[in-house]
Amino acid sequence: MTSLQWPDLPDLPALPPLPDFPGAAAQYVVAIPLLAALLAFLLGRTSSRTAAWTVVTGAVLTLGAATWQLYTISVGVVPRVSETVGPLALGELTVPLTLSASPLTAITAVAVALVALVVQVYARWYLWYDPRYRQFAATVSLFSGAMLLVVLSGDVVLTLVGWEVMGWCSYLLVGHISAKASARRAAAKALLVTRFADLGFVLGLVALTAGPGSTAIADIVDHWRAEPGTALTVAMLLVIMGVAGKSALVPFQDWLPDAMEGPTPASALIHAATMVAAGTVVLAQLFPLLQASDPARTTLAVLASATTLLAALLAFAQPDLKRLLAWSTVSQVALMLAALTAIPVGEGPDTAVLHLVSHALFKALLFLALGWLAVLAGGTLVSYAVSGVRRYGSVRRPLGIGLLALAGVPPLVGFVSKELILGSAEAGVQAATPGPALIVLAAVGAGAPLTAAYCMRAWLILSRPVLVRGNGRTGEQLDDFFAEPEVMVEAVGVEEAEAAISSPARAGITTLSLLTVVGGVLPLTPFFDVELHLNVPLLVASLLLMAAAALFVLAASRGVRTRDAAARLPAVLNLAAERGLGADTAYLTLVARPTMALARGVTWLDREVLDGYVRAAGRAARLLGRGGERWSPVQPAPSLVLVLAGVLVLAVIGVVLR
Amino acid sequence: MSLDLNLVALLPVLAPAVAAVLVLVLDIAWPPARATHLVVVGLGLLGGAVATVPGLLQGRGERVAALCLPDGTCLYQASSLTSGLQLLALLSGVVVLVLAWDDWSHGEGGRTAVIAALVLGATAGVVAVPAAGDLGTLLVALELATLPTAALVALERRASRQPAAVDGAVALLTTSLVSFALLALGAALWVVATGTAVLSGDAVAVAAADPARLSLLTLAAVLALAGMAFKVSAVPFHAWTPLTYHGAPLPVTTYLATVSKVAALGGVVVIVTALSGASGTSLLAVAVMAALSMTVGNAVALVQTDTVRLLAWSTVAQGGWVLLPLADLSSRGTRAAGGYLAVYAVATLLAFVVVVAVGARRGVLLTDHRGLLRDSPLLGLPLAFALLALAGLPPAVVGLVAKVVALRPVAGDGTWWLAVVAALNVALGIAVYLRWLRVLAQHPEPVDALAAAEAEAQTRSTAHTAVPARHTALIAVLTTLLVAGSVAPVGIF
Repeated sequence: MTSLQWPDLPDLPALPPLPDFPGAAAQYVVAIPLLAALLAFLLGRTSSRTAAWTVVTGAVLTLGAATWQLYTISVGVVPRVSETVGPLALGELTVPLTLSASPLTAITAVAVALVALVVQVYARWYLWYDPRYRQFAATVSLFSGAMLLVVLSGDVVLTLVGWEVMGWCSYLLVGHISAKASARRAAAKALLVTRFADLGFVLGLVALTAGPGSTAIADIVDHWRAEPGTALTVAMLLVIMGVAGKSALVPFQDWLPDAMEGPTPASALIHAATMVAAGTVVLAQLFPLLQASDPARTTLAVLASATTLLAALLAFAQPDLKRLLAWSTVSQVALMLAALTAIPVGEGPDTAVLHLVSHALFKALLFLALGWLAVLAGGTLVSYAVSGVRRYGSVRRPLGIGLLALAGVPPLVGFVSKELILGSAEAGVQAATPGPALIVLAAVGAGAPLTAAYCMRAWLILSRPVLVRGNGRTGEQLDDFFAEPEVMVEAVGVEEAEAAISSPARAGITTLSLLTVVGGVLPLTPFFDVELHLNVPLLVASLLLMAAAALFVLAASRGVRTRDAAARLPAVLNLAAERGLGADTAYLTLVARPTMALARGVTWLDREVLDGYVRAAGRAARLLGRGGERWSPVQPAPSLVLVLAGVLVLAVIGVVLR
Repeated sequence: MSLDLNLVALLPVLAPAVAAVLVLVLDIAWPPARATHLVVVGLGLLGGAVATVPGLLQGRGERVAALCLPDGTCLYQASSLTSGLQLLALLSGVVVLVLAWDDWSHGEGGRTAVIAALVLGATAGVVAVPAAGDLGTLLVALELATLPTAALVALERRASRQPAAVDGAVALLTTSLVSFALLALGAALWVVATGTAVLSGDAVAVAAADPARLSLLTLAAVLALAGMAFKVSAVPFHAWTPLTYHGAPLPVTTYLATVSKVAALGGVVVIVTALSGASGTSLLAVAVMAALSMTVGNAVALVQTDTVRLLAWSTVAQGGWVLLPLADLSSRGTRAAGGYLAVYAVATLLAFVVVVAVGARRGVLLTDHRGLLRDSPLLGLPLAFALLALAGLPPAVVGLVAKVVALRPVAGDGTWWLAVVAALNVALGIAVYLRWLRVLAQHPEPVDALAAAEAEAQTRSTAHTAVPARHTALIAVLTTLLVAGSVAPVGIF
């Protein structure tokens, strides 16, 4: 095997010293979105305009603060620790509640802030007529603030706070269209599934904290790195359970596609940079502990690899392009987590975080562009979206760039991050414990062509030529009852429809497209410390496999009117894929129904058995009262007898039992 | 033998006593005077109340003493707790006087003077009890506090209620006489055990060192406490309570439920304080009485349909609560009991004032109180607040604090069985008062058109029997006290 060494780059010129602002950048990054959410909620009571101005200003300031932080990190001390509300006095437990910014967390924060800004701008257009836009905007701001808190947290208590706030905000965002029963169900499902997994997360963090007696992440890492063992493994497995819930790994994967019931900006935010990626962020912070515990690492590798393949397969067969993107999110997030397990011991989690950032860029782009198309075409089902980019040329470029990046076509950002993962997995196989890396390598290798296949399928559907009346085939057409109706090109209407998007939203999408194209240079920046394991045969092989998969899909799509390759699959498979292989039913039968049965049992026990005692106590008191009433003397004489008898008894008690 | 009188210190007792003599003289000098007698009563009681102030202001361990023998023992000693109890008794007496003004100022020849003299005499006795320094004073004061009340019960003006009133008076009188016999027996045994009639901690400590004398002393204490327990209406000495409360005129019932209780607690406190000289003893008898009183009182109160009888049984239960902290035989316990009694007295006075006011318009049955909170919130809300204070539920925080303070010595002592019984009785007590509160909060719905017309007629007639201004003033003052105590429950305990 040949390994290429990264050419030595000249060091970037030293940056000039910064003006001194009061406080650390991380404090601003976390505080501004939370403050904006509060202000939008308070001030935006009556006016959507005020709310929009508040949240967009907040998002711009957040992005500014995050960029400033990136700048200070590159010239200053790393990691940069700053206070929040001061340490909590909790007896023996040290709770410093600090924020900690390192280059990796700083660049993640920039990505989160950028996506949040674009989503806010886009949401103002997308939800223009929504009477509950104000609540939505405030929630998005709160949500991004919570994610930034998790990203910059230096204390597991703060991580937990952000983690939980995100969980509740996702409930609000997914269930935003609360008049729809399916949206309410999806919101409840997302909340219940992730909270169930959060049990493990909380217990795991408590176990980790118990060791050093401190909740500071640095202390936790130092303590457990010195004494790995079963305790660490158990704690990490519990944390991984929580991460699996938020990041939709098997067996918690099914909440995420259902979360598509939320408005498109919410989906873009949840799927691109925030909630699903939070697991990766937390594990990157605890990375040395993950590497110290082989069982935990192997478990995560197996879960993530299984998820990335399963989700890629399901994505291929989805009849709704938005759900296709959802499953692709499941697949790509699993890929990040898999990358964490495959990195050779001793190296940092940089490749995983790089894929996080890259995925944030291209997935936000894809969601927002698809939402735009949905507004124009009336939906994201294959039947609506077919020929979409032909009919509405302005979405052609963003969707194309996004799909290429998702598929991992050079030189887009997706290609770079994926090849780096492949490379580090390959390097991990050479290491002392190759188990996880081997699994991941196989999964990534198999996942790349699958991803290329579903991207190709989506593109073929979107770019199918329009059947235009009068393009020379009218003579063959005898009737339009059995044939697809042909489209009348109404140029004026299309232009007006395309112009309907607000120019800031359009600018946001363009920015994301640009970054997706040029993001490939990210590993060259000083924020990433990537050990380059470039394996040229492996790279070529994976590219060839991708090309072969794309060609296969192209071949399969021939002869189908919508150019949908998935239509070749048996209907049973399509249906099963749409239903997520019956995971919802499994949740109901395996968890929900037994839990409800148990709850009913407990209620019965409470009502019939325990309440029985309570009711009996009431009856006993009444009986006692009636007895006392009946037996209390109504004449003076018996009452005197009572007095004397009482004295006798009391005297005996007083003297004998003294 | 010379006796240091120190009459100024005796003023809380002397003021009502002198007023009683004045009333009798006035009656001879000017027979038609009626309201004047009551004015004299009021002045006597208020004068006594003012005279308690120096005693109230002294610190822990200090005593206002009078009637001192040459060897330094005083037959009258008032600590700050004693003065507090005296003040409580005198002011409660004033409230009862205002409540009964109409009833007592009417009546044929001399009735007003007799009642006035009886009230003043009884109150003087009540005020003297907590300050008693020896057994003789205690016995005399206790009898002075009790016997006039039996006459007050019997002096019912309305002929229709006289048989019940006489029954009640007889029950009270016989019980008090038997109890006095017990108390006298206890006092005699006490003298035998300690060798002195003075209630001194030193003599008790000497006696407690000898096992044989300790048994005798315990028996003496049990008999003495049993002799006084009837006044607190502690089970099993409670049997007169429902009879007498129900039979007596309502103001007299109020007097028995509040002022008389001060004498009872004062007597018990005197004995307990003397006994606390013998360290390490505890009185199981007090604990048993407290537990029984609470349980029986609450349980029977739970099934009452008449507000006066309900209050009578609630008095039995609350008597248990007053005795509860005394089982510990400590100064903390006596202060807790005093504080509890103060809260209880104010809340019970308020409840009785409202019951009297409502009784004049509708009746004293529980069903007569239906919808009171909506009909006349100025009566309903104070009553509800008083009931909450008795139950120990917020927003009447003062009742809750009183219960906690009363439980603290028991818990500190480690007498867990008693604490558990008390806790169960908190729940039972809440049930008792919530039953009444529910009736108060119900919708006042007339059953049919006839009842509606009747209700309307009654409303018109109530225009004539509107709540007298005196009652309104009493309700306002007492409610203010309870609310102030709930806002800042300091200084009471």
